[in-house]
Amino acid sequence: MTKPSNEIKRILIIDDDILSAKITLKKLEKKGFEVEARSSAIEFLNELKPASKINFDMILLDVMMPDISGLEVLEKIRAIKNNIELPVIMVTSKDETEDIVKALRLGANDYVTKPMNLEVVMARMKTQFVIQELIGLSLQAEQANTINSMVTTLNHEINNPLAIAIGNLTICQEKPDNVRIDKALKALDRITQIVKKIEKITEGEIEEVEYSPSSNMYKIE
Amino acid sequence: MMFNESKLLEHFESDKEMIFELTNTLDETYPVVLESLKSGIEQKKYTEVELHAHTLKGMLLNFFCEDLSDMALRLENQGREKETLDGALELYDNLEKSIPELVKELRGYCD
Repeated sequence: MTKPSNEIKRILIIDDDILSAKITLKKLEKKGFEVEARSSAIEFLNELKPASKINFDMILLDVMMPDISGLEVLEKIRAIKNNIELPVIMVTSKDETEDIVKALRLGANDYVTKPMNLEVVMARMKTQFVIQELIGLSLQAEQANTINSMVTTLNHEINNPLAIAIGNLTICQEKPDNVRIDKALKALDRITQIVKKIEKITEGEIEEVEYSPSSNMYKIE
Repeated sequence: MMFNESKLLEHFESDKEMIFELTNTLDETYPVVLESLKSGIEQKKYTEVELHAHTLKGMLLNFFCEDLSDMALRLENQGREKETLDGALELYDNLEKSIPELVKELRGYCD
């Protein structure tokens, strides 16, 4: 889930050039970000497990590093977090066009060149945070629509057992019949179950689960 | 001056205290990079030359030292293109001699 826009963002810098990383760190801290820097990408990757919660909102990732290339690091990040969940901005030299193209194809969100101009970096970061927030709002709206649809469907489902209950009880008014009363009771029981489901949905007791590799569904808990 | 003063001040928002601190960081970190670069040149390991020259170039660009960063860039290109490393040791020697002078000049500028 994306952070609200007024919460302090946590930025991770991965760059073997300690000096450049320190400069960027200090500048971003001055602008109110929480920043950490890692000079070893391998060390960072060792902390990166599929189940772990990466506690950063964005990564500034150097392309050329001694132990492993930034592009390989990017691939490993993208294997567990997509470009909306964790934006990655590549940091390159001006003459690394090929690497920039590769990085964008591998899922980098954007790039900046060294020496990093703070205004440019901030603008690129802000763009990614705005995109993230807009997608988050859109997903929330989509979720609300889906939930509304579920409730509407369940409301319609009530009609059938309601008709059965009313129909059977009406006939029983003229001529009591235990079989019909039993049918009415079962129908009322069905209505009770449906109402309980609606209650659960409106109280947020639903979870999103994978339906297929390309789509999710909501399941009532 | 070995660095571009106006660009340096703009980049660091005229914060000389920060420039001084980062100059100290440069002083602490460049020797290791230079040593690795020299090793790469001597052993004709092009990838090492490219990588360490690239790092050095990045460090120097932070202080807008165009001449020194150009030297590092030339070494980086030699490494990348796997050209002969003729002249590489001279470039290295220039860098080895000039970076301490740069550090001294930056410190004096910030005092």
